Amino acid sequence: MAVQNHFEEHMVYFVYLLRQQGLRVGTAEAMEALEAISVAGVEDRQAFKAALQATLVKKAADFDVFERTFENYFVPAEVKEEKIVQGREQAEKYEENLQKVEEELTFKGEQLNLEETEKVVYASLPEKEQERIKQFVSETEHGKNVESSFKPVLESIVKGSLRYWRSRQDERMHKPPSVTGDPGWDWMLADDGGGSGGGAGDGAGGESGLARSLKEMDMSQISEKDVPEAAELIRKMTRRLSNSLSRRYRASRKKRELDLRRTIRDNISYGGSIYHLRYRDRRKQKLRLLLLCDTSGSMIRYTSFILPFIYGLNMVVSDIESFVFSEGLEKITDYMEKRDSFEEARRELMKKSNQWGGGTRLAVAVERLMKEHEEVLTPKTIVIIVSDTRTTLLHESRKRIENLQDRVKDVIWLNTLPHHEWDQLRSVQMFREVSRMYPCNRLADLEQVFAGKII
Amino acid sequence: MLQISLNELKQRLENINYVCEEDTVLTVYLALQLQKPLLIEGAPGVGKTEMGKALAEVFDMDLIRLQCYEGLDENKALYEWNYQKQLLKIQMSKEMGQEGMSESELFTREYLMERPLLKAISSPEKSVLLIDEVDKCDQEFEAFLFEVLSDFQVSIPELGTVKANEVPIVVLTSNSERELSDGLRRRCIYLYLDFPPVEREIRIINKKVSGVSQKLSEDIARVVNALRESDLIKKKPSIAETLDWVRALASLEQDRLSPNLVDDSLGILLKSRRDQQAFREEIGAQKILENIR
Repeated sequence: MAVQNHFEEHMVYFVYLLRQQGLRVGTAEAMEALEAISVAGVEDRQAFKAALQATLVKKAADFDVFERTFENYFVPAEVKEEKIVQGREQAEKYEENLQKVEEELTFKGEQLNLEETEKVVYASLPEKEQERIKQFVSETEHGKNVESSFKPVLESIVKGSLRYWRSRQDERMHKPPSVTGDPGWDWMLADDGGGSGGGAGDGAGGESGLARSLKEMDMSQISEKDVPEAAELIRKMTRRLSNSLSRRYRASRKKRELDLRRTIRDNISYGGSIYHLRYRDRRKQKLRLLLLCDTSGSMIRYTSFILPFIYGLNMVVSDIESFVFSEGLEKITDYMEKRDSFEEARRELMKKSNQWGGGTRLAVAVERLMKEHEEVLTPKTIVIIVSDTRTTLLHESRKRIENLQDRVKDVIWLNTLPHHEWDQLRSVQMFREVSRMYPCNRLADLEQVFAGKII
Repeated sequence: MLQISLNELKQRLENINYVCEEDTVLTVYLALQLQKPLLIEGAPGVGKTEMGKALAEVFDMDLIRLQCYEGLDENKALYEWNYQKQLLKIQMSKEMGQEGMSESELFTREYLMERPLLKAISSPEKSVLLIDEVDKCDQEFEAFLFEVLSDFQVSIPELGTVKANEVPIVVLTSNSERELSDGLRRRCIYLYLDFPPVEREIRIINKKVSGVSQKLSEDIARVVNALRESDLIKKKPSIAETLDWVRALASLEQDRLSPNLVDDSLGILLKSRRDQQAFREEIGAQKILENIR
């Protein structure tokens, strides 16, 4: 009895770990898993794992998480203890590295304002490259007529360099999300054993598997070699969405408007008598969408995927006005509509636009939007802001958004920051008060927004 | 519960030439033993529908297939009254001077057209119910479906409740064109089928196509695998297309691949102009054969 209880406790905790990492596992599935184990047995590890997977995992995209968690959890106690200790050591080393970066990269006595991920990239660089960056910072600091106000420029250059290195790095060195509250456990669970997520979901690595992973991963982590696949995925997504966005009517079981064509077709076999009436629902009134996309330095990696998505939508749906902003505001609707390919649109945009890679001045952008483009701000317009909320003049920006709310139907904020970081930023809290904010750091999030789940 | 062991199931699937991984067999076995519907997802052409057919063959059961499509509703899936026959009956009664027919005479089994779901429920013998491409139907139908699959009984107002004597083996397939609801997923045992690795594909070819040389099987499996791994090919060749290619080449009495042969028969494998162009311009038959050998 004690052994059985102990086993069930393990199962309960395993299910808890899966839930903490985003898998939707209900109590019914957990009980089903126990039933499956009673059929498959526990002696054969592979059979045991397959039994759990078949009952607890309901989407291919969750296979990797399941695989990692299983391989790290169902191990002998001493092995697990060792892994947890190693995990704690990794967590400590991680914090030490961050501290070291903060001490090394300073400008006129102040730390450079780098994000945690950027610090991690720096800490993992070869010593030669670290030295190169340190030297650059030092030489800049001691340059002629270089004042404190030069700090943002220096930060921007250092960030650019670190962005380059990041795309070439292994993502596993970055801090895993907090799952259990114990850093040792969290690092242990994140350890995929040096593989690249191999296991049940791998197979021949077919298109579905990769496409699914790309949809579910943070856009900033999509590597260069996967960009073509991501682009193709975006094309497919926008094509699929085109029907739902542009169709004015859809079949409905609610008795609204009679669908004459379907009614006649369905009753042909009754020789002219109408026995079954078919209805259609007038789709919610066609919306006007206004996209306001942040193209500042911190957003570059995300905009490289969001803009093709907007381009794809423009190809299939009318009534989307698109703007980009950074230091200022620029309307890009024409670029999105009138080019043969996204590449051509992007080339034109990069040639003519000034809004790439700079700082973020949302207040200025919204003010200009309201003054210079008021014709697009109607009570039917939904404004969608795509930004990580990192802007100057926070209070001013918040006020502008509040004013914007009064002019349009709704303001939706798609935040590219991972959700677990939201609590750490004041800007997120402030903008959440004046808009509906949703996470949008994955292609899957984009699809959800435009598939009608949020709009 | 079906009286079959895991090894027996594996053997029977092999006997009917359905080649799959151990984990796949175990998952199917669990679905059978737990009497849960089996939801199979995967790219087109990996063998999802074939699994349904294979189970029907393995257990010598009728296969009842419901092909889903957008707009499929309960009438088409469950039952309809044979209106024409009822009308004819009424006419004939009138012609023959019989008294007016009562409702109970018109609404009998004779006039009921059983569609796949009702057929599966009312079948006296256990059957395999294959609900194919469930992602094509809409969410309302999906909700109706899992209501039926939960209880395996249907209420027909004119006839009463029909309850399944033998709960069918239910297999649902999906190409993931639409996200299925959590409600449906939770009610099923989940199986993901991916394209097979080279060794398994060779086994599949050898099992399904007789008289093929080992060299040709290996060449074809490796080429197809390479095409699937390539980012340039958008529509990955399915297992069915691989077998078509093998059959075509076998009928031409070829025992190995050559660049000319690959070029000439490309249309059997790559079904879009863009993929064929990408293959010819970026990959090439010569290069792909060099890489696999």
